[in-house]
Amino acid sequence: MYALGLAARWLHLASSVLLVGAAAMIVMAGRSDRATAQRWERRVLASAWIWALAALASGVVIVGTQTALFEGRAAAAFEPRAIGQMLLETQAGRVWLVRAGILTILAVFLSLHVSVERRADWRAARGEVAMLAVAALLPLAASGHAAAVEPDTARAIASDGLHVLAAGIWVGGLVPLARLLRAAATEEGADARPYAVLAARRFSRTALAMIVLLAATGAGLAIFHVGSVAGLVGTSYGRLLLGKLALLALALAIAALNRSVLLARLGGDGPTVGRPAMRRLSGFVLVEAALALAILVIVAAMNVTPPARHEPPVWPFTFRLSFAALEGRAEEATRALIGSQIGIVGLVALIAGLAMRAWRLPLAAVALASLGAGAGLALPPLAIDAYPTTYLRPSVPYQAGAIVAGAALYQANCAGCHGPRGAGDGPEGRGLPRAPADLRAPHTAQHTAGDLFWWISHGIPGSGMPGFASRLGEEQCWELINYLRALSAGYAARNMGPTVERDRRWLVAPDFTFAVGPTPPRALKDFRGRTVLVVLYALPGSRARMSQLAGREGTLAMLGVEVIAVPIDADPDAIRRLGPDPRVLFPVVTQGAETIVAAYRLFAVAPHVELLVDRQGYVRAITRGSGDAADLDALVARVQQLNAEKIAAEAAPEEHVH
Amino acid sequence: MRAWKAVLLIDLALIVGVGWGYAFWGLREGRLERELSEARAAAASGIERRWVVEGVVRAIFPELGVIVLTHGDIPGYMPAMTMGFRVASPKIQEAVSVGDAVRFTLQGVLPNVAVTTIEKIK
Amino acid sequence: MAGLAALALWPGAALAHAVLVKSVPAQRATLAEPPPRVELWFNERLEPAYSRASVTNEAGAQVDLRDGAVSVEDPRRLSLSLPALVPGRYTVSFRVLSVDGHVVESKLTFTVKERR
Repeated sequence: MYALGLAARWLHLASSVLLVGAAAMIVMAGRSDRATAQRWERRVLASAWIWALAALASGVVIVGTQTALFEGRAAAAFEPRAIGQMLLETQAGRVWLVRAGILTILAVFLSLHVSVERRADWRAARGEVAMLAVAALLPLAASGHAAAVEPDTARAIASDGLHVLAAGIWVGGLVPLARLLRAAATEEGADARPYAVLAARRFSRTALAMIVLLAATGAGLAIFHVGSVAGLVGTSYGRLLLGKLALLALALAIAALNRSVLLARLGGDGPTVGRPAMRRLSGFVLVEAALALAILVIVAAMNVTPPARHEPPVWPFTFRLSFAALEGRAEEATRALIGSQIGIVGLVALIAGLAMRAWRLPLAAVALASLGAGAGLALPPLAIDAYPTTYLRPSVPYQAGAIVAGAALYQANCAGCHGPRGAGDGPEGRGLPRAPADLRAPHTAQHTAGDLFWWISHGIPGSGMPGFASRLGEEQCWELINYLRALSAGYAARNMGPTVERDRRWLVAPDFTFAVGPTPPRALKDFRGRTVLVVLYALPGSRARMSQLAGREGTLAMLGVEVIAVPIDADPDAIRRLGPDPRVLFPVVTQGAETIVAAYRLFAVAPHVELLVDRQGYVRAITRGSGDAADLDALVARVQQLNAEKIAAEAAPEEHVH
Repeated sequence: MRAWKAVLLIDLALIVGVGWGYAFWGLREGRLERELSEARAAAASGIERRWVVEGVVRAIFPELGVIVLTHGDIPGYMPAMTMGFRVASPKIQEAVSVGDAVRFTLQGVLPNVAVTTIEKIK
Repeated sequence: MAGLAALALWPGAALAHAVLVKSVPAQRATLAEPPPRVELWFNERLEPAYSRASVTNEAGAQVDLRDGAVSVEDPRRLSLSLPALVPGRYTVSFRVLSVDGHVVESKLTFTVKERR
């Protein structure tokens, strides 16, 4: 089924593209009264008719395979009801109906024998073929991956539409061009030679523009669908794209050769001057076309492969390059800097070489040598060990629940060596080849969550750290990593006090869910965009402070502050214990408090703790104890300071990996 | 027939086809959406409505006849939040105290709704 | 048969694509009150005709009210209603089709606690 679907997709794509190219090539070449040119035009139109039928036939197969896929059973491909539902009730089906309708009209029109003796008739008839072919091709964009891009759907569909259109004109035009050149290169075809030369020049100009358009839209689509180096080299979609680019580079090299060498030799009016070049050009154009059709095989496979952005990447190398590797290594940094300077010299030489014809070869040699030397010098210091899972994103979010679950796993599996508090001082860790790591140390950019995942699952050879893949499931590994993240963040947070540091966001507030009585649970994340004061309180010590917060709730609300009060003893009767006076109206957590308290204890331990979480979800100030915190004006000042900050357009903190 | 005439005919047919398609899909979808929003608006106005919602008593203002409740989603009226509601009679408030988990009935013609019954749960 | 096997073996054909971005109840949530409904939010628009979800209990019996459907207002949301559930562990299974023609099947679990 998969092979059939892929073959049908390729045939459909290729015939749709060839159809556009044939129509465009005829329009580009223009009308001619030479017999050979007219014969060529008729043949191209005849093959266009066959491609239209091929597109329709392969389209029917695609509908069958899609229906089977949507319904989840192969037999559905032959059930009229299932096919009807697929066609009428899905976007892919409706797009298909529109395209099939246009293709049918086009096929009928191509089979009509209309007289094109007059110029107006010729223009109308050929223009119509081109318009219908383009109209049949463009909606493809609305049923592919681009249709699912959020939130830039319209832009992605437009890019994809331009991409297939440009591909259609370039790739599809090659085959008829090769035929024309071949016909004109023969003895009998001599009458069409000027026509063929003109057509080849026009095509070459147009194709150049189309390739530029392809590159621009292709780059945009790659960002939409792949988005990262890890996605490019670590997913099937990314690797297909790399294969496509390799074939494309080859096709472009041939295209450049055709344009710069062979096309120039077509000139000359004599009956023999251009002929060998014309035949050779015809051959090379066919090779270019064959490569382009091979690219379409990859495109068809990409159509049925989930985009890299949605796939967990498997990093194929044992290292990755990052500037983080230079942290605290001055010598290496100098080396990288010198290397990059040499590289820049190489780049300058390269540009100079392109600009100055006379010095091209020596400059190119200099450029290559210094680029190579620069890379050889600058890149090795940037290398950091990497593993297949390095760019894996945690499948368990950074949430209080996961942290608490991870803490239990830590105590059961890790505390023996790494110590009960992660300091690397567990009794079983003594005498290991390498001292167990102090897990409170800051998790720098030098290792990703994916690196930790690898170490926990597979161990670290030679260090005494075993792999836990047999004991911990994937989910448990991520819970443990969430705990480690909170542990080291909490250790760093011991230095955070009540003062807000301007524009310094580094402590992500772990998300949590809570409920007040029987109301549905809410999450801290739902308050993103508002400032949140998380108050961990214990009665009776916190009573004065709670009264103060309750009394000034109106002021705080006006400043955009939401207060969430969490009783440290997790009493389900917490609201009643606070009493009716003064009136406490902000959420007091009656369900979920144990988990929140257990996780947030990693950040601050005191009978009364207040954490000020900014609009982006970062903890910005921590006050411990209700004594000095009782100053409400100080809190208001801190909030005003946060409100004065611009909200940076960076990713939500839970997306940050390390 | 002259070719340009044939082309003209085909294009006309296409335009009619696209127009028909729009009338069938586009307009129908638009009409459905409008009907839906009209139905929602009709449901939200003029007619007396009634909800049974669960929540927690947060404050009682006997002098104002208002009870403040942290409540769950009230479909078609408001999402989950803490909100003050008028009570239909002062007696209603006497049955509950701050911190009680309650099930209450909200009744009235929007926006004039009031709590008509309230009972403790658990 | 071989075709289906090929389909299953193809890397990623059935893996994450229309990704679940949020759910109520959340994945692995432990709830004190049985939830009245399950809501799933995806990163892409779903095809209503081919997007389904169901809730099963530990015994594997379907317990939802069989009204799972894509929301009219937000085509990225799939929701279904539940009766009052008894305490236990429940599995939400879903099979959704995004507008670019990719089918995704996955599941998540939540637990309803005993009342104290």
